[in-house]
Amino acid sequence: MTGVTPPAALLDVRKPHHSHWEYVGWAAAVTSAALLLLSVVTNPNFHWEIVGEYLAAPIILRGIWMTLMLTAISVVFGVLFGAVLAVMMRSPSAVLARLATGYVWFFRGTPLLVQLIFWFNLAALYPTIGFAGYQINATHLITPFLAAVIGLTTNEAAYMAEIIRGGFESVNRGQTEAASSLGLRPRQVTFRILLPQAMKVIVPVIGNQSIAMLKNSSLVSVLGVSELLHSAEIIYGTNYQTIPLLIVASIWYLAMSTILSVCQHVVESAHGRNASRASSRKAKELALKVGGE
Amino acid sequence: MSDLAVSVRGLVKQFGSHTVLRNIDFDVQAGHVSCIIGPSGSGKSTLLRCLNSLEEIQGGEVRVFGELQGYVAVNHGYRRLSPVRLAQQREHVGMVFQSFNLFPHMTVEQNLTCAPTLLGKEKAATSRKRAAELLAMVGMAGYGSSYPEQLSGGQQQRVAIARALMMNPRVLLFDEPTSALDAERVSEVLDVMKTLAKVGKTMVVVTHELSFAREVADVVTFMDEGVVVEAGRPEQVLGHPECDRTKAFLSKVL
Repeated sequence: MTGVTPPAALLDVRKPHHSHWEYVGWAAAVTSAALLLLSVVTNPNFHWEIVGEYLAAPIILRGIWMTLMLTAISVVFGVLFGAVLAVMMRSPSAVLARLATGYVWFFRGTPLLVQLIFWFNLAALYPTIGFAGYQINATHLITPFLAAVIGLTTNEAAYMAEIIRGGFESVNRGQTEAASSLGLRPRQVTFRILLPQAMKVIVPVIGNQSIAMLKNSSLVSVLGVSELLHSAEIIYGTNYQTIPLLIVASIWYLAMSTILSVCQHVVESAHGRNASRASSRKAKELALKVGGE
Repeated sequence: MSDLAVSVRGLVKQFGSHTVLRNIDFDVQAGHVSCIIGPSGSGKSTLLRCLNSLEEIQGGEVRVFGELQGYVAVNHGYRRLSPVRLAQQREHVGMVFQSFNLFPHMTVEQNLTCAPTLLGKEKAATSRKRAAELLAMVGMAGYGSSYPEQLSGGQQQRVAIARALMMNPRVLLFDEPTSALDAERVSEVLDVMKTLAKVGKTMVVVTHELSFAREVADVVTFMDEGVVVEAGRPEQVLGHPECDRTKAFLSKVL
C-alpha cells in the first residue's frame, strides 16, 4: 500500500553526493558575472541615461504593440494553415501530399528575409491583381503591414506543418488501426483519435515557435513596419544613439520572451500535473473500489 | 454461400516482392469459432488483417456474409474501395489487437461509446447504458471512468473486447489477444472469449493458446509459410495431425 510510512527509527540520514568543485564553480561564475556587469554599467559609451530616457517612450511602446500583434497573428494563422498542410501531407491523395511537401520545401528552403522582401515587392511582379475584369492595384493592396503578415504567416505555416505532421507521426500506428477497425471515418480518426494525442507533442513546440516568431518579427523592420526594432531605428536615425536604442529594443525583446517562456512552462507543467494528478486520484478511487479483491 | 460468415478464395498477399500469403482458401461458418495456429511468420496475423481490409491484397477474394471486402469487382479485376466505404464495411467486423490499442485520452466508457455515437448509430444515453452492460459482461463493471493506463493488461484487453462488441459486429477477429499479457492474466481474457463463443458469436482467433483452441474452437487451421497446411476439428488437427509440418509444430509447442 502506498502512503504507509515506516517507523522513523528505520530511517537513516541520507545525503546526496556532493563535490567541492561545486563551490569553485559558483565562485568563478559569480565573479566573472559581476566583473562583466560592472564593466557594462560603468562604461559611459553605453549611455545608460539615454536607455532610460527611451525605455518607455511612446513610439517604443507602440512598436512593442505592433511586435505582439505580428507575432500573435502569424502564430495563429501559421498554426491553422500549417494544420491544413499537415493534413494534406498525410492525405492518401498524391496531388495534395506533393503540393504540401513542395510548399514546405520552398518556404523552409529560402531565407525569411528574402521572402519578406519578395512579398513587399509583389507589386513589381504583378502590378495589378484580379480576375474576370475586376482589377486591384497591387501597390495599394500590398501595404508593408500586409506584406509582413503574409510573409511571416506563410513561412511559419511551413514550420508548423512539419511540427504538426511530426505530432501525428508520434501517435502509435495501432491507434489508427483500432479506430479504423471500429468503422470510424478517416476524418473522425484524424480529429477525434489522433489529433488529441498528437497535441501532447505539438503544444510545447508551438511555444518554442512563438518565442522564435517574436524575435523573427524584427526582420520586417526592413519593410518599414514600425514594430519594436524599427521604432528603435527611427529614433537612432535622428539622434545617432544606435547602441542605447538597440539596448532598449533588446531589453523589451528579452522581457517579452521571458514572459512567453514562463507561460510555456506553466502550460506544460499544468498539462503534466493535471494528467498525473488525475491518474493518481483515479488510482486511489480504484484502490478503494477494488479493495476487497 | 451466405451462411458462410467468412469466405476467402485464392488470397495472395505480398509485401513488396515478399509473398506472405500464397493462395489461401479459408472459410468460417456463422456462429463458429475458428482458431488459426502456426509458427510466427506463417502469415496467420496477416490473414486476419486481410479479413477487415487492414491490408491491401494482391490476389483473390475475401467475403464476409457474401459481401466482397475491401474491393469492388471491375472489368478486368478489382478496384480498392474509398476510405469511407472501407470504414462502412469495417463496422460489421470487430477486431481485438495483441496490444489492446485502447484510446489513452478517453475513459473506458468513452472508448466504448465513441464509435457508435460518432457514427450516429445510437443516442449517447443508450450508448452509455449498453457500455455499462458490456463492461459488466467482461467483468469490468465500475471501471467506466478509469483511464486505460490505470488498468492491467488483462483489464485493458477485456475493455477492448467490450469496445469491439459495442458495434454489434457480425464477425469478431482476435489477433493474438493474450500474447502481450502476464501469464496470470491470460485466463481472464480467455474466459470472456469462451463466454462469447457460448452465445454463438462468430469469431476468428489467431492464438498460441492451444488448450483454448482445443476446448472452444469448432475448426482449427494450421498455417505455415503462407499456406493453410491443415484444417479441421480441433481433436483431429491438434490430436491426430496428418501433415508432418503440423506434427513438427505441435511437438515443439506442447
